[in-house]
Amino acid sequence: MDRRLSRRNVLRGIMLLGSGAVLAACGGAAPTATSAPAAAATSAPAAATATPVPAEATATTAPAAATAAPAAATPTAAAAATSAPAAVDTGGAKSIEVWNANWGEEYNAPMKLIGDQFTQDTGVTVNWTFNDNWQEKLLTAIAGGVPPDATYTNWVGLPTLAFQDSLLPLDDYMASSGIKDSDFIKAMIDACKWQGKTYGMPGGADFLVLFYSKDVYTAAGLDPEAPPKTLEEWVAHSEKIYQTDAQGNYIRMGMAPTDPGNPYLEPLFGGKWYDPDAQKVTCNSKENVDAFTWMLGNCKKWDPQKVAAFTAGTPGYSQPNSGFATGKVAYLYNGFWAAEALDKYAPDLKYGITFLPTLKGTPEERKNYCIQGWDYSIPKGAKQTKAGWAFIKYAFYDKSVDMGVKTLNGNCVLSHMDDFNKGVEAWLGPNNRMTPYFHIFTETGAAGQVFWPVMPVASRYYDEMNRAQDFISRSEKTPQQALDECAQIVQSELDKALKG
Amino acid sequence: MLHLSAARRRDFINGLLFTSPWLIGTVIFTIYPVFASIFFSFTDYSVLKAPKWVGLANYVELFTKDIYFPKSMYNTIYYAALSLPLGLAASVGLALLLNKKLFGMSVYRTIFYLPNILPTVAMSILWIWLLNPNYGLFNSILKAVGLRGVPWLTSPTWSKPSFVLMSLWGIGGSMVIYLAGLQDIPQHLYEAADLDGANGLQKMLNVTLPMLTPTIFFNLVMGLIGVFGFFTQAFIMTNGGPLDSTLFYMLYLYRNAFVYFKMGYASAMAWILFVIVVSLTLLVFKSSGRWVYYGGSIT
Repeated sequence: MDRRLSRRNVLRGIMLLGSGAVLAACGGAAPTATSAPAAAATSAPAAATATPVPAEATATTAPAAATAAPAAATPTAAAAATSAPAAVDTGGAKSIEVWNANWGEEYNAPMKLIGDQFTQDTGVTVNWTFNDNWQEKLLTAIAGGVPPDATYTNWVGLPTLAFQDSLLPLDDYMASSGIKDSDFIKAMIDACKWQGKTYGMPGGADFLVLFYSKDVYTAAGLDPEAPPKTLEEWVAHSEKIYQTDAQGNYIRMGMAPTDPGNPYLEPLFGGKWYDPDAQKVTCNSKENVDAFTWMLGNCKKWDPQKVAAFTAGTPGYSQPNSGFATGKVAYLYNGFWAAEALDKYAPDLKYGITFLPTLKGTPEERKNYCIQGWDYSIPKGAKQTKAGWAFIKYAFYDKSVDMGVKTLNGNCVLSHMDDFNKGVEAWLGPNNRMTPYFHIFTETGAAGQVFWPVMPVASRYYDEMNRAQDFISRSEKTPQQALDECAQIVQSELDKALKG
Repeated sequence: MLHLSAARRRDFINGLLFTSPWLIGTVIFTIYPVFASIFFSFTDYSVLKAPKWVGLANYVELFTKDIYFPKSMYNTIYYAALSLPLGLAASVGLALLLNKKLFGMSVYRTIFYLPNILPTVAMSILWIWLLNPNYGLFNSILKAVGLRGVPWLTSPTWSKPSFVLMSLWGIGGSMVIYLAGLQDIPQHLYEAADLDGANGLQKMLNVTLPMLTPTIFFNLVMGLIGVFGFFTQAFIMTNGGPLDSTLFYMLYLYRNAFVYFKMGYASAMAWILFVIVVSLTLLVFKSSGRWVYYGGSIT
């Protein structure tokens, strides 16, 4: 039979193919997570190291911090690696999906390099995804049944997700790997616990300290070698530092009137946010009211709106011409990673570093420092849980020094702290302005015992406290009014959540 | 279907198959979620756990307990009440100016349309700098003419007007539609007005604007829907602050859904917004008989 290829038949064929392809694309989305690395899966581990490794790409894009990283850190990391178990149980996985917050390529690249080391050591390919708005994306991925095998979480996201039964407890994994709670900075591991179970392993801690500009101190007639130890001194120094122009606009700033701000301010006055036994929100306690009353006093000295106008015109510390780098702002409350930007954009600035001032300025009060950071968890529904755990342990326990030094995050494993210090000091170099002060960061991390409360509405509570601070600082509400309102809203949300 | 010839039936099936990816996509990704959200609005639903029926509790809480619901609604209505009429007036005015037959007019039209092709995120970041109290372009101009600078986004008084001002930058899209409407007005109406001795203002009030009312009506309805969905700029530039002054309805809805995991509550908010927008749109439609003139029709 002579069948002619008519235009209609051709169109019909194209249409069917097109429809099939589109439907396949829609329907095929779910299994992608497990089937995506098929190419890697078919290749032997030896080949797998070659397959996924964007080694050349990452090496070229890696920041100075990563590429120049520590001659001294490498041996320690190698030493840590040798302590890893010879055979890692990855459950036969060929590849895993790992999600992290997107910190920018200069930090993502070294993280990927550690993933590549994991691939070399275990034969399991690590497929990284770096997300902006990680929590929203994780929420939809878990709800859709396609979560990653290991994921970044943080101090407010972890309890919220744990309460939703969306993270796997890691206690059994930790016990079988010989990892104990006491191996970590206490505040960091405690912040991963909800109702007695551990839902994350600490990945990186923020050891925040007070940078001060010696140049500004000298210009203001202050002793550049005598930074503030008490909150009172901090205010007194700032009073000498602040300068205004003829119109009354600030042209040089000391402390911001809201410094150090929620959640670092309240614990300095002995304030607590939550009573877990009574399941009661305590942000309106006397200590917290006292803390914000002190802040309000500063806001009356220095108008927060004018300060906001001033700071809005100065780039952040990580950019060129930041307020701190140009001598317009005397203080920077930040972590050791700030060295990278300061070395790059303010090579001639003379600065010092000191502990966050406290009420009395005693070392004992440093236990009131709030320590925050990020963690790694295994979401419920993950396909490769064993490999996910193997990666978490490898990257954030066995290789915590490498991870901390190369991504410029605070190490959380106590037994690795000396190696971490050496690694960072090697990265900084002996002549770096930060080197003599680096011990202050890790001592802050070791001393601080306060962490944001682990509760089902942790995110909401954090937002409400920041809102209360905003209202107090602008004198729209008294500290008692703002904190009472905050307590009422959060308690109501908490009660509803706990009632289920 | 029953009475179609074989060829027409085949065409009908082919048509359905051709459009099937979009039909299926619409059903799965639009129609189903829309109807599912009605159900979820009566539940306590986090997305991560099974929904739990709570009846009208979400709606009751929104109207009786939630302090942010009236605030976010007020902020949104404030923004809508200013930006919608100002945007309409500005885009009509701009279209009238750009409808002149002058040399290089297409270049001007392109320039005024350009902001519309910029990504919202990039535009928002640009405006953060334009509105910077110390170094921004607006305050520099104000200071140059001897006026005091305005704190714009850092002040609860000025934050919403700042967004209204910013919305005027994006009138190029509706301006193009008005231009098309203007060029569709029959020339003989102007010739007749000339014969009657009408001046420019009379021609605009008695010919141009009446003939442009269908276009104004279209832009009004689209604008109404758009202003109540205002979100991205506030999310990027102020995230609700200062003092909740830019906590717009959609921003609060988003927080409930994706930050606080209260998808049921957010669904209830979405349906309240839907009812408000539909009601206002129906009002506009109902009023259109009084002021929208379709060429040749007598109302």
